[in-house]
Amino acid sequence: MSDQTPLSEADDLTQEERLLARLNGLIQYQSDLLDKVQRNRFRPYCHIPDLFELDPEATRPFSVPGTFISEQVGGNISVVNANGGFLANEPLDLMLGSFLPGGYKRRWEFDLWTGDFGPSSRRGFADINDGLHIRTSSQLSEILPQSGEERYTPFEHPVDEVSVYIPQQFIVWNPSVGENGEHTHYYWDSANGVVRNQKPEDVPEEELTTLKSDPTSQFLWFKHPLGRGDSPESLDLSTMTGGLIEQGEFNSDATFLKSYYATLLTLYGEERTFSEVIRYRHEEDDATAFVGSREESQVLMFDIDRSIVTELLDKVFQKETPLFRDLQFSLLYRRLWDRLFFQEEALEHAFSVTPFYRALIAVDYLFSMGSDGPDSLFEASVNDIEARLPSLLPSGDRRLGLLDYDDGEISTYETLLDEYGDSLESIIEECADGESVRQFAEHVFIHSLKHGLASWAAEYSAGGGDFEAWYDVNFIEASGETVEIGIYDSIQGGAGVSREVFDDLRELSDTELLSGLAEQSSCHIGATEETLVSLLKEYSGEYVFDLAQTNEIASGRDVPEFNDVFQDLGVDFSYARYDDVKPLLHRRLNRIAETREMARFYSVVAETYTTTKEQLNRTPRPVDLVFALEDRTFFDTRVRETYRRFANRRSQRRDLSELAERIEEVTKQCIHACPDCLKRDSCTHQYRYQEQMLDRRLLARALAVLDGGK
Amino acid sequence: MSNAAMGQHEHLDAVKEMWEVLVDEEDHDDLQQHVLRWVDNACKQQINAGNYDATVALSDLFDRFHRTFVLGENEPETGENIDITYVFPAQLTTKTASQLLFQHVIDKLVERDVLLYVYDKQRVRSRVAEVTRYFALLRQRFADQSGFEHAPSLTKMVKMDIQSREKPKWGDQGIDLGDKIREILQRASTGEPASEFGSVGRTDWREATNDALTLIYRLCKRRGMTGLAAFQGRSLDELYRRAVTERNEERAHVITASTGGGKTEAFLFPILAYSLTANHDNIRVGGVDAVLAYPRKDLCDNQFERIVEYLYEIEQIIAADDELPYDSLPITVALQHGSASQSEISCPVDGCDGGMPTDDMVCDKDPAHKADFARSDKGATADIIVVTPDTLHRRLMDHRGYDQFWKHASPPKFVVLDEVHVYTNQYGMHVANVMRRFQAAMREVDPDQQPNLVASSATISNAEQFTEAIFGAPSAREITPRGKNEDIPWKETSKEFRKESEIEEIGWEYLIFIKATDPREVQVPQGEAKYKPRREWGPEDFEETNVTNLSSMIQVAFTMYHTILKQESDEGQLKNKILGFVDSIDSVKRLGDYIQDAESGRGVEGQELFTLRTPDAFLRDEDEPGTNPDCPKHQFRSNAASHERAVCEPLPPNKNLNPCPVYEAGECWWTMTDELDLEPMDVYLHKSGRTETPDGTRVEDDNWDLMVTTSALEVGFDHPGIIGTFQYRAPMNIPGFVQRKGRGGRDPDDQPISVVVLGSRPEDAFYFHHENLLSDPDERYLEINLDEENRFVRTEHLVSAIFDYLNVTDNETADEIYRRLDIEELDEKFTHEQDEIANWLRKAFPMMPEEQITAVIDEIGDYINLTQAPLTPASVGGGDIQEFWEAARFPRGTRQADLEESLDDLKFKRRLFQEIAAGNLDLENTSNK
Repeated sequence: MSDQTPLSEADDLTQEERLLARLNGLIQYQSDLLDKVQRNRFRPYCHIPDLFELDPEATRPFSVPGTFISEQVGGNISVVNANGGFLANEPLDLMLGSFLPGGYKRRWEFDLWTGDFGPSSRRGFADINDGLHIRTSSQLSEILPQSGEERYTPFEHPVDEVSVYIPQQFIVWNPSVGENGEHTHYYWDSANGVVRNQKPEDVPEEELTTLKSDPTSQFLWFKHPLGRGDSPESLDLSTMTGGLIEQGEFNSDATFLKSYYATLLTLYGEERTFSEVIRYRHEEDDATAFVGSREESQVLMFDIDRSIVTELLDKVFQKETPLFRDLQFSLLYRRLWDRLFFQEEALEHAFSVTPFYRALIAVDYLFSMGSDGPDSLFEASVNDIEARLPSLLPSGDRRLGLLDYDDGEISTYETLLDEYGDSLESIIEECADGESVRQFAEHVFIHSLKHGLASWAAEYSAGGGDFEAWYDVNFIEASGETVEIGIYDSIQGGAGVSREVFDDLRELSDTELLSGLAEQSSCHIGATEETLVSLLKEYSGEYVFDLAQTNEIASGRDVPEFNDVFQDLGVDFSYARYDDVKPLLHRRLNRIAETREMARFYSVVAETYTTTKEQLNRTPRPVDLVFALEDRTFFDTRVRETYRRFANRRSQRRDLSELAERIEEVTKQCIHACPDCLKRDSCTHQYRYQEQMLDRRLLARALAVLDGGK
Repeated sequence: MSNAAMGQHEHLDAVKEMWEVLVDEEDHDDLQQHVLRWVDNACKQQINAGNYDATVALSDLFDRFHRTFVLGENEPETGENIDITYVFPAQLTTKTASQLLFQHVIDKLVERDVLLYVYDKQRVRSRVAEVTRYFALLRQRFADQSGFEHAPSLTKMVKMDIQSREKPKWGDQGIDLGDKIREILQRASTGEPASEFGSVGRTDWREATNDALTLIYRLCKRRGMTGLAAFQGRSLDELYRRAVTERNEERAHVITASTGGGKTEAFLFPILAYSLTANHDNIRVGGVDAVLAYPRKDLCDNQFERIVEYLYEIEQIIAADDELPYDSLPITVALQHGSASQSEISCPVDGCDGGMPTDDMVCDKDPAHKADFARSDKGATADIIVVTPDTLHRRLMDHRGYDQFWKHASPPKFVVLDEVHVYTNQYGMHVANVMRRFQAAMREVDPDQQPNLVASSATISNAEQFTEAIFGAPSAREITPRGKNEDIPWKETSKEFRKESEIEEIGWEYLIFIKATDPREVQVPQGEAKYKPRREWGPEDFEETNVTNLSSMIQVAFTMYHTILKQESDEGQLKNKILGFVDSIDSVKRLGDYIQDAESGRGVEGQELFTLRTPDAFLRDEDEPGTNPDCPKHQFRSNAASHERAVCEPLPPNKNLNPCPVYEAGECWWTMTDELDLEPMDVYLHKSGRTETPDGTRVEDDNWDLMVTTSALEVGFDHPGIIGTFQYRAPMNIPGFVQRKGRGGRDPDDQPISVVVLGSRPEDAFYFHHENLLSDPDERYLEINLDEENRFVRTEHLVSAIFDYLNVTDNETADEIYRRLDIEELDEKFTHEQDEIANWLRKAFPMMPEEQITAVIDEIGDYINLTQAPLTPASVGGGDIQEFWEAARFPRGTRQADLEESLDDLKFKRRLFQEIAAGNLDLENTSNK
């Protein structure tokens, strides 16, 4: 190009912008290089891979990779010490998920680091100004123009009060003191609602709680699509999916916002452990801050037809099965988090949500088994529930006492019901409302389908890597006819994997995609657990023990009894293969029936599980079984002895019982989903209710309707 | 003489006599191992049934002993038995003899500290069961004022698993290396020499192969390794014979065996043999013989050290023997990665414990100890090159790689990818493409030379399929030890031979799964409050504490170290080290610090926590103050027999005769008696490329007892002193966990312990209740995926391959382009040699659609043009229009000051540009004027 013509105009950028971007690339490269040259004293260079790296005009994949360690979606960011000095280039998402307000990590040089954030003018909000150099910011109202209040967070902020910030540099500091940095002070400043590392002069002493250590921090986030690029390619998938997935659309230039909006802290005070939430604020802009990254990748979007989903779910729920009641409890769990923990702060710490939920399950057990009063939790008033609370812990070593509850917890629940009875009442009403549960089921179905699609694609593309996934968490509120699910490469800019999946979709046979998805819901662990319970229920413990000792088990051959039970598992496992389940089953059986004593005991647990399931019309949880076993008369004294040993009612040797853990040996680990099927490492619902927002059975049964019930 | 008439003395003599015969016949170890295994298994069953005070009655054990070894009943677990009646003296009845011998075996096991008598000395418990008991009863102790009864329990439930440890049969049970070498030589002699030996006479070639294998034999003999595992023999045959003879078929190989199963030797011996052949005086084929790629720098260093050790020994053999046809060691080795010259390996000289920095390869203890045959400077060429795939990618394109690989007539013969299971995801896609590019360059240098492509792994179930994919090979053959009744599909063997397994059980490993309690707050009464009911406690009467999953892990870690059996190997290597795995750098530091605190007593009443559990009653003298505040020392001493210091010294307290609530509650670690048990640990922390002590001192030494690390030491970290590993929380993936537990017990005689502490997260509960997925995963969980044809990554390597082409075919110009960004040269070459480049790409990636090759060439052509565009608009550049590439390049001789100047200039131009864009300046008009 010796004629010195400038760069041609591209669609999205002016010539000046492109030239400036190149200049910036060069300057960034040479600045980093200078830093390295100054530290390590070598001659400066710029090699071919570096050229492709620094020049924005060089487009991947038409470039030479500088390293095989790929940049994860969201990109990398430079990290500097507030006291001076460059520390590292790190993935932005790692930084956000570790060092936003309230985050402390040992990292560079194994030292302790935290973001350089202080309090803001609003209690409970940390000012992000000092800790981040911002690359871009925009108002949330520009991103969500239709909304008055956002629905991504439990706080439902007005969109015009929020700005979204993408950092370009993270500023951290080491809060350790002492000659060798051997200790750190932590205070919870309740006046400002932030963690402090030194006593602030302007906060009264009584507002400061000394903490024993740094908090446990979990960072809450959501994803929102920002852009799709200009030339999508689409493919009609309606025929091959019975109308469920209308189309697949590939876009090579998509951008998602991964936005962090709050830090959930567990704080370890001298006298109590408690939870707090810190949100973010940009003081100068006078705005609530969401801090995020732009995940640029190649995306495969699926349009799901909601009318078909409704039809499928209607058919699934035509038959009354425990699934519906299980979903009611999943909805309850979610609402306890969103409303009683986040919105109303009725539950004091994050790890008190599950124990309260478990206590409510126990109350449901008592209602279901009792001869008077309501038949279930969802037919009960708050007064009914309160009246049952004392029965949950009749003495320190009975019922919930076997799950390590004490009087303190029961009295906390009494207070909670007194103060937040209305809230709980409305939550229970929602869970009792068939339409609400169906709507929730639709959400669970879409979320499960998203995870199913992501794991199918990972398996199908054979690369061994995971996809990032997205779905519109507000699709119910949006009331659209379709809902979108996206899966995209986890490498910034994309790595061609979703492209390959899209291309291959054209080649799939009519049934391949649906059966591929159904396989994701036919969990091998779930099938193994179900087979095991059925076997233990079907045959005596003695017989199962004898079966476990046979040569067939040792040599991995088929045992007809096992195969028969497996074949009867039904629609939830229609795509599970016995050959895959067999080794798992044999190994489980070896453990469960390791001795006659264990086989006898677990056989009784399985039998109790089955009868309890019928009585409750939902999947029994360990707490149900603890209650049921207490209510049971053990005619076999040997089993009674085993039971007593596990119940270990607070002896001098140990102050806890292992009964619940023992019960979990044969009850399900995979009720909704597990790491072997739909659960994923990265999910917007993680830290709270990922499992309850998934249901492999719901997915399997709905797909089976489409599939003619294979 | 009747038994009754025989006195005690005669019985002792008889036992001694029987034992001596068993020792002579080498049956004594087996006998002990069988009995120990029975006890371990019986204890395991009881522990898994929630009885943490597991015991086995000696009478039951004797019954089994008698049935198995005297009556000859088959062992249900192993199918083996040993007839021991041959040692019974004629003067004893069979029953008496077997009773005496049984008691002797038990005493031996107790003496070895792997078994302990319990209660009335009529029962035993295995050492591991006793340690597991401590785990199960563990409480959070931090203030000795509180009394252990009120300290919160840390463990909810414990499970134990015992897995067989197998290794390929070698030594006496293996195959004879001498026989194998004769077989190889004979079979090789019928073939034609490989193409690189083309100009060498057949006699010289045969002599070279003979001499090379003889030297390998001598090496093995020196190391006591002439009894090879059968699969190692097959590997030597298959890989070496393929290397030195002409072959027509293209086939890769993959070597699989358990961790510590001798995989490295299986590919290294053929490589050393080939290198000795190729560098024989008669032959002297130039160039690199083997490229060994490892996924991490730490691993490269580790394997480089191993090769240096082998080469040093070969050098010693050659130096000591004038008859050998080598004047000196003819093989060199180079370490090549980003920080290769900043590493350190152990000095290879026997008995020297010095370190050898890789920059000069001279021992830091004795400068006379040198490894002249090894190098680490950038671009150093050698016969064997140890490298990371990332470095190989650059070497394909740069001048260093040209000097190393391509300027010789013969390209590398072997390409090895060790720990191949790591190459999945994007990383695997890149490596698969580098392999194709490397092979294309090899073919360019010598199209006739057949390469030997070898992969290796301990944790892959789809080995052949994966190997084909990563090398792009039409077929792959797995070389692996064969199990009983298994076939070797590609090997002609008689059916008779096929029945016998090439694998032997060498013992077992213990896996202990601990389910920690859920996080909770606990009020611990202090002082007199211990005796009051809880409702009467005042605010000063208790201390509030948090029990977390980490609390459990900390206490498990030091319990493990202070109570497990520490042994010495026959060579005097102390086996007492524990390697702990966590999944973040943050956790490494925190856990390491907390364990160190617990061991040093910082912040905990000034006492090391493990000392709160010492068995003071017999460990301390009468007037010596104890450290276990609860030990009823005086009570146990007053009843002791004259030769004992306490009743509980010979065996733990009997809960009926002399009950000890402290022992029963798990607050007396009865096994903690050896000197090492009673010393605080030295804790080290490790993350990739860095080891330090908790106080932040960087260390390179081996003086650690417990090292906390991330996945950095998951593969290839082979330390003979590691006897235990632990994993905190659910592991990230199953193959990774299998590798982690494989770090313990590198000696076949070891019985390592792996402890997995699982917490309150749902994944932890999942793995606790499905612990088989970790202890004994089926093949489905060890399948490794690879998308080797991924077009996106492939495109990046098509572009890179253009620079490979330039490097291999015209190195000088390529160097100017690659290092000096001489875009004009690139433009010139690219324009004139486009057809050749396209052909090169076709050859490197034969399955590539033509349109993709065309697209790459078009795109790069366009990009070359773009690099020649002006850096800035004319208004900013002034009269001197600089092209983009000119601003990006650094000409020869550029210094730091030049870089600073260049950067200032660029920043100035940017400022100017921005000012003009903002309308603040109108330089364009000015300059036009």
